[in-house]
Amino acid sequence: MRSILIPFLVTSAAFAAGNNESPVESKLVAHVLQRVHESEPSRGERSLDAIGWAPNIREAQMLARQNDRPIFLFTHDGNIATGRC
Amino acid sequence: MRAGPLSKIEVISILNRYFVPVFASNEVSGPNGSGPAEERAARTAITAAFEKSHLGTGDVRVYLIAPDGRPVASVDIGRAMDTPQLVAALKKAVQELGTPGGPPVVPPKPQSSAPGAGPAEVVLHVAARRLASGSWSEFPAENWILLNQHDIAAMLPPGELAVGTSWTVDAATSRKLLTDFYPPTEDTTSADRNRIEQQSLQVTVVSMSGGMAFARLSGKLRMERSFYPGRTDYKPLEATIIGFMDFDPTHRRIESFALATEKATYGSDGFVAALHALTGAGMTEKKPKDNDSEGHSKKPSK
Repeated sequence: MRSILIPFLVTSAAFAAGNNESPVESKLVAHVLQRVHESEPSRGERSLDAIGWAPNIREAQMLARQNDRPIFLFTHDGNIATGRC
Repeated sequence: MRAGPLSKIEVISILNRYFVPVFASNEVSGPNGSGPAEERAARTAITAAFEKSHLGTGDVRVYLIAPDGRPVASVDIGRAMDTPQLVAALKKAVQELGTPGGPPVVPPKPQSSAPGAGPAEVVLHVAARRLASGSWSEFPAENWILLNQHDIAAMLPPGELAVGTSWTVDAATSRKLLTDFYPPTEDTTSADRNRIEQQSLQVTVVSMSGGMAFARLSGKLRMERSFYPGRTDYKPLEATIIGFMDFDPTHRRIESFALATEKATYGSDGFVAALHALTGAGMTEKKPKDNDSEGHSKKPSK
């Protein structure tokens, strides 16, 4: 996702610069984008993404049979992918 | 689990090399979950098989299942959270089954990804990070918001526009934008338990150039939220908000948009929350250096 996010940040800054914004406006953009950056998960905080998760249980069962692999099923509350859990 | 064993290289390596990993939320695949009936039935059948084999069951648990569906091992969350115990259980299962290692069956990919959006819609990504140490500070929480045409219209001014024009975003839309501005709390369900007391977003046009307008946003959010669902431990949340928006007033299109907390507290803790638009079209594919590969170099200001 970061690769999607970063172009936006760059483009916003470029847009601001390209429109000859005043120093005050450029400072606002830079400040807000810095806060966006601070709030976003870092690569290290996204280690969950380094695991090749099957999209659902049924798909995992099919892939397990096809590839002769056991299933690791973690059942949980909330949404572990977004961290709202 | 996400900040514990599932972030450890050894566990990640074993899962990718020997298993088909899958996670399943009780809110989706549980007996009363919102997921497809077939998915809930598959989950129910697994639970029944483990009950029959007396290996143990539970809502928050790790189940190891043979390729043919046979129960192999069940690891309660207490042991699963302990990396050495989880690794031992994984290795034992692999050894018993004689599983040969190999590349991941499913290529790893980002697990929190943007929802699909139509050409007239705007996707917003929200992230909120607790500014403290310890539990609930290991990683920020995320949400996705989809702004439809109605929302976008509600954010833009109704009439003539000039530098200095100012308006307030309608309450329903600003609530939609700000309702996820809270740090990680225990969220076993997605049910809204915010008690919003005050929320507002003021927009002021700062400049106009080449048919585009640049606006500054400022706002406030005051609400109460219980840390745990179903409990009455409501704590106050207060935040001041800043942001900016580039928009095309003629075609009523938002080109870029970001909001962030300037100062924010939840109970006695500080936090930072922000959202920004993902506007894919016409983006320059540049990527600045990413210096946070270890995940701890970000130092938000409190």
